[in-house]
Amino acid sequence: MSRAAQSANGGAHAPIGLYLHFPFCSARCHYCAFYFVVGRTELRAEYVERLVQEMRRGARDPQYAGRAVHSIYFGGGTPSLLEPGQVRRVIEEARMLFPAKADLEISLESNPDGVETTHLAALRSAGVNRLTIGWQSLRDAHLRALTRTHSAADNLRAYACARDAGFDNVAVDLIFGIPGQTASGWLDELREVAALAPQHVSAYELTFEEGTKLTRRLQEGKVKPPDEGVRAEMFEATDEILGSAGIQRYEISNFARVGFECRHNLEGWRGGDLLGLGASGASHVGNARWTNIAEVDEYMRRIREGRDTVGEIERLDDATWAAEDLYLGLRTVQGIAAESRLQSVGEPARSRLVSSIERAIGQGFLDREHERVFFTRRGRLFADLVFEDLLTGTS
Amino acid sequence: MSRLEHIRNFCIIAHIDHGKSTLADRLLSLTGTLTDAEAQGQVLDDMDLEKERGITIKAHAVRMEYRSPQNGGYVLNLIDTPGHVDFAYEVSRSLAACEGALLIVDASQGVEAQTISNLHLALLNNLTIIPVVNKIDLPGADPDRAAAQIHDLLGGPAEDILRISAKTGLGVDLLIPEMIRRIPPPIGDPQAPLQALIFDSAFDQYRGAVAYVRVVQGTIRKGMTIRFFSNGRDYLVDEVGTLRLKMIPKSELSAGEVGYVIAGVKNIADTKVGDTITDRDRPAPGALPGYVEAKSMVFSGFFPIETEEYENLRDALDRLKLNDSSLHYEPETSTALGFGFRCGFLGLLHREIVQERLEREFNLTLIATVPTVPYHVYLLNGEMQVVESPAMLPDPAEIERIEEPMIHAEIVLPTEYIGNILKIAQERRGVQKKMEYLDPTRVVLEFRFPLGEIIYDFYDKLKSVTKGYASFDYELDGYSPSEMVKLDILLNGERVDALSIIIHKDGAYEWGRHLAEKLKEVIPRQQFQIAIQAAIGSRVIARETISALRKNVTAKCYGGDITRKRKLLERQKEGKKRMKQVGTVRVPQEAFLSVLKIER
Repeated sequence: MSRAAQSANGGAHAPIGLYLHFPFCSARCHYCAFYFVVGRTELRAEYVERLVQEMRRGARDPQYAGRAVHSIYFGGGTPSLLEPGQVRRVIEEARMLFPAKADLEISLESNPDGVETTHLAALRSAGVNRLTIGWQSLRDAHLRALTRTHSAADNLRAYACARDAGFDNVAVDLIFGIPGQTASGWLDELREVAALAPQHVSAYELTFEEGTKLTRRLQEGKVKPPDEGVRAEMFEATDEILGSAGIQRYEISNFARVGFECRHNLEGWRGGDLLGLGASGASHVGNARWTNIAEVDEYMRRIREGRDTVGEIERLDDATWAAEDLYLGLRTVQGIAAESRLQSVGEPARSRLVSSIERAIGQGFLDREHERVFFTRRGRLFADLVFEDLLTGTS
Repeated sequence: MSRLEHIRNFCIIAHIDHGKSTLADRLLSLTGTLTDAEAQGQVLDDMDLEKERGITIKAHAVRMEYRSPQNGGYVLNLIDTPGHVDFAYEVSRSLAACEGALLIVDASQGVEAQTISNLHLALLNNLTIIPVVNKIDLPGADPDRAAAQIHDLLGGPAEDILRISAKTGLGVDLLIPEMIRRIPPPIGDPQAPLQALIFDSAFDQYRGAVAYVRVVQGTIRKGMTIRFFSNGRDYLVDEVGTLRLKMIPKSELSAGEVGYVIAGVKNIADTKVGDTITDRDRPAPGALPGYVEAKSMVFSGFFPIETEEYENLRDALDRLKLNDSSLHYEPETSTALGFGFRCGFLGLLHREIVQERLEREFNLTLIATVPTVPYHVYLLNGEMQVVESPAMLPDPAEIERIEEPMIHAEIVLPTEYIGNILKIAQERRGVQKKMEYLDPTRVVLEFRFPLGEIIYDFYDKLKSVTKGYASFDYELDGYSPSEMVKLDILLNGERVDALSIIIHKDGAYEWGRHLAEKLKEVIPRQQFQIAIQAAIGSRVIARETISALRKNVTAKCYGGDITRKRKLLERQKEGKKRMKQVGTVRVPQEAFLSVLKIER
């Protein structure tokens, strides 16, 4: 664990994030590459029990035992399909197992279809204090292109329900670069979003993930996203519209009012440790990363039988670990104190990583202020090139 | 009967896969030269590569002993011949060491191009031909048809054509008595001044070059000082002997015999195929006819993908050269590819074999540049330069004319593909010389081609438009004037030297356009626009543009996403490391390989 002490975020005794994956959806979206199952409602109650069981295991794991929790994140899938009682049970269990910080952030992802104020209010009283709503778009045509099952009107109604239910920290998720979308259309959507004044906006460019139906249609030439130039324009304009409404970019795809940044994710980008539970949950302690098996029945069976659920595990060497921390840190607007992060890396990798950063500064991708290095406005568009160059320096 | 009456020197000539090696093995086991267990593999082909491709690259000789019920013991020297078009000269020298040849034709395939070209060589060397239809046991065999085709080529009584299956042994027992009956014994005077023909050589790391010889006149003995006619060098003979599956030392080899000579020759280049060995102290009045200095006819740059492998490449070439005197190389520097070697080969297959051996036996990864042929460039000042690489081509303003090497090609194919072949021939600037029917379904076409047009992808193309049924063979046929130009590729104005070629002016536009399109596909977008231009001198004949990369950023990056992204980038990393820099443009190795796949 001495190595973990070198991590960007304070190491083995720092608070951790708790991620709970709920892989159930009511329908399949053609662009989604996450692990999920459609329907299987009969499994959900048992799944929650297994999740709790795995959480108890995690709490006994020496890597996590005794560490405070700064955030709990219900991700999916569609965790808003959970009964409020189930959410409450998970939160209570977590609070018993891990010392919680007073301002514990508890986020839950929701889908707009069929959302009711009473349900949301119950989730809130169960402990959820940050609600994210998967809007994706405010245009019905785009929602159809994404094979979403809700309408733009459903989005607005869900947002109103969240407010009515008493949520004062509401985040909405948006996607740009959808086939058929124009730059001006995107800007109009953003203006409408800004007018509703959410605390947080995630704006993701549509990713054509390997193996999805959408990607197949792209390869078959049946759909065509806007040109790369248009998507770059969309990316940059998002800053301006949301920024002028007081919702500032704090990460490549995330915007928030000051103080409403998602702590769970922010700590992750700072290299903080994470306990990821549930089917396909990903964990991270120091230089170790592991992921649970994805298949939900197998996951539950293994928990039931007291067996290990890890599908893949990897321990990074110092240089790769540092490159990863640099990339994650650079994704945030604040950037990262690169030099101090690199202190624990041995030569010659350290020099290579330093020159990789200098190269990116020379290319105008990165800028520096005191010890912090961060992306320039232009450099943010080429973040992966910088990461690639950093990784090239690791071996 | 004299000693010579009991010697028969012969070779087996056949098209690829018609069963030459199987028959050789069968003869070896029939004569007790090797046991059945040893006969498991095809003995004559000792390199893996040869076995895989079913071709023989280096010739060997084997001495067999046979006892005839009527006439006592015979010595049968089988001299193997290299099996490919590139080695026509080596084949002719092996044939010159023999008095007879078994002409093997596959009973289902019939006569092929190599059958004909080897037959021509054998007849030129005045060999007695014993025609043999092989593989008569196969279900698809049509021995009558194959025999009829042979009869059309050779004439003579139909019953002279033997029918065998080398694989099952059927008919092979009758072959040896027929060989003894029909092939004349060697003639020569053991007392005459020495003339020994080198028909092959190999390198032994402890003993130096081993020359495989046929003694034509006189006698070669251990302790004799010999002289090579081609270079006048003298060597003291350490050992002579005959070849079974290993070398068997003897005190001497005399006229009519076949064997080996070891004489402390350090460099295999001194034991030249076709050269004549004589006795320093009692030299023959002249060399045996037919010697030609082997010339490289195909040149290509070999560059290691990892620049650190340059030394290894040099060592590997040095090692191959020990056993392959026809391989030539000298250092070459490319601005795009760094340090490498300009290599000269006998032909295209020779080039492929060398590249494959370098990659397989020496674990190198190479980029080979577009092969080129040696051009004769006549300058206005009256000089003639031999140009072996595009970079060496003088300024067009100084050139009076360029001549290119030509070949005479024979293509044997089923008649239904004649149209396809004529079309390719026209595209490749071939001139049809002759068309002859072997039988109503098969035809021999003869062409004169520029060598430069067939040194790559011609053979593949030929096979593809004839569904694999065409066979092809060639020999060099002088030089002809031709309007050749140098075509350059420029990336943002920087010339990529490794992509330059010398090409006929009529083909330049197509080539340039295709290559520019191909490069557009394989060069990844960079943060600036990239102009790809194909140019002859300062005249741009094709242009493509790679637009600038506008963004490259992962949208979602949480938890397990980062690991996925990192792994993806790490997979790409190796490829990127190998990118070559041309000016500001990074060019992947595929770009240099894609040039070899240009359709035209």
